[in-house]
Amino acid sequence: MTDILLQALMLVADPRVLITALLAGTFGMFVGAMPGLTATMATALLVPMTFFMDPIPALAAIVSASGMAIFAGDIPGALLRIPGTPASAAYVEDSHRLAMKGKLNLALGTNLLVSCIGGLFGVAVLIAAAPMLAEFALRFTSYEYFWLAALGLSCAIFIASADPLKAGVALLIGLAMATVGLDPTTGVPRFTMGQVDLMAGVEFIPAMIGLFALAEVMRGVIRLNHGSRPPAMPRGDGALFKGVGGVIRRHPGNIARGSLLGALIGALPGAGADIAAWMSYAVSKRFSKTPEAYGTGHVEGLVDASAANNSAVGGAWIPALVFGIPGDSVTAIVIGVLYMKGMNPGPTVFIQNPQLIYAVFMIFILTTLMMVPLGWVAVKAARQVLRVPPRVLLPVVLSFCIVGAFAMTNSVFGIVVMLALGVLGWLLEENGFPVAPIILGLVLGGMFERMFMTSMIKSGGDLGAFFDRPIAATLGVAVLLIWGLAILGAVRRMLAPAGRPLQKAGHSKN
Amino acid sequence: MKLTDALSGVALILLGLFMLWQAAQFPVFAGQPYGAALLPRILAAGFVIGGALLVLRDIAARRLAGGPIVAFADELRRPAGWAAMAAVLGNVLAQVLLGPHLGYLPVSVAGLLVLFLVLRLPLLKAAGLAVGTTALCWWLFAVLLRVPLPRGLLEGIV
Repeated sequence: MTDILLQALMLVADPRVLITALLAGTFGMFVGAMPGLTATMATALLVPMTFFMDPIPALAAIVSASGMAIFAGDIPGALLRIPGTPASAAYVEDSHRLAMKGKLNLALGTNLLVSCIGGLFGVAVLIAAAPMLAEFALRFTSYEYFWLAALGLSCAIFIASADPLKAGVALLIGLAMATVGLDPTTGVPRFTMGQVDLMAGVEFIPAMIGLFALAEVMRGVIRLNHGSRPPAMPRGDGALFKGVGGVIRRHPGNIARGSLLGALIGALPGAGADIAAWMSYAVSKRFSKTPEAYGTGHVEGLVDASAANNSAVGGAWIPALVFGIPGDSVTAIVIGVLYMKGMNPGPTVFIQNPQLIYAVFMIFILTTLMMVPLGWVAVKAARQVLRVPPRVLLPVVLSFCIVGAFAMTNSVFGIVVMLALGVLGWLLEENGFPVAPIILGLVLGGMFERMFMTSMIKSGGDLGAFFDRPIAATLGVAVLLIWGLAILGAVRRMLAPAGRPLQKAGHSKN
Repeated sequence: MKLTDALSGVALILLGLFMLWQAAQFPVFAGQPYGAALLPRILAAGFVIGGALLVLRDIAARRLAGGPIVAFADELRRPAGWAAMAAVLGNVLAQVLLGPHLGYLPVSVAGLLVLFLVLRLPLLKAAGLAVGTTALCWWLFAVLLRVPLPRGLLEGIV
């Protein structure tokens, strides 16, 4: 065992590996911080370069870039209310509002350190419990996945509960958009209006750029030309990590819970950092003593979700390494690279090439720790954005949105999606509909329908089958309880003395 | 642009009815009772119910408080607000309609120049920023990340 660990250490200590990890990490930071470019894209762009590398530097590049990209998505979220990756969209409202209160460093410092802790937890789970967790994850059938997706969608209730009816409608809009394209069971085109581009469905990255970024640019320029400057973000608020220690000390339970949830959800094939962040934010709000503060610039949800999305990065490698089944889109690419390098993933890799597996674990730890100095530099550099006057910044952001949306489809169709969703997002927010549930519906809609239809066909329409298996039954009861309690609460509010619900109706804006 | 919840509700009901109408046209396969129309129908029902609840809630509130059916935010009551929004949307539309023919570079420079001018930047500064921003985007995306941004008229030159 010591021999294997030493061999692994020798492999990782190679300066080429360290330099590759550093360069790939910097690249990942850049890609993650750009609205519209994702961790998956950072990984995919690295693949051609890994052709020319040995296995360990190749894997170091991928691990480093994907982890950094997930964190870096938080930076434009806090600065401009434009989440860099879907995993950051869950808590973008809180981090941006914290920044607007002059606590930008607290928001990003917390993101960074908690992401690092979550990432290390994910690696620890990967090292300690990979085979066991992978076996557990493999027991999931379409019923369990259906309920898991339903549980994820139920998060919309907790995340945007200022007006649950409008949040519910926004979720329906996201789900309806997810039905556009070829039907997953029969292959029938739906709502495509004869457009070939729509056959593959609505890409959620251009949609996210539209809903958050374009709508924000529209609001910004309208305010500018009215003479009222968009609310300015206070600049200097001290060192990056000032106050972060206190936040971590006050919320150790949140970090542990977020990390655990992240690793577990990450380990499920097909789920990933995005779902992990949304679910842990919702769980955090549900069990918080101050749920009303969520969405107003509260750091607690940020702690849970930041820990979860980076923990999920490690978790996603569990089924990938143990069975060769991708945990998310990044590990789907990783599996290809593993095969290319002769490290055929599966149980045998632990026996035939244990030194390579341990080297991967060490790279994970190394790159997660590297995230702190690299993140510090990235945040320092990104802060310069605050010096740019809004009338210069907004058109520049618009320009990046256009090319970012184009890059997702390599055609102007991505820009069309961004435009349509941008106008829709602007209109919806003006009228008090939250836009975050739309992204949730769009991200989870495909999996939700696929698993629902598979289960319905398998059971011949017998809904009882959805509760036959123990894990499915547990998840199912949890989902029904959440919705039952939410509906009960809504009915109670409607029956309450006239004043309260009526004040909320009409031109409400959350 | 603020609509009343009743108006939003009506729009949602119409969207639900449209989805139901479209779903009715999806083909049904023999021996497969659950097909492409199942989830769209469930969602359409959700839109109709959600829209109806919004309408009812708004009518109840309006009976007490009153208020206009459509209201524009302060910023949009002046032409300058509309001009800024049109310049933003125009930039995006120009890339969709003209970008593939003329190329990303000229459309972006022209579009950004207009937007900077609408936002009342001096001409020289606006022109410099339009060229600089376009060049930066091109270098990052087309050169570094190999995104095939349309070359248009500049095919073979850049």
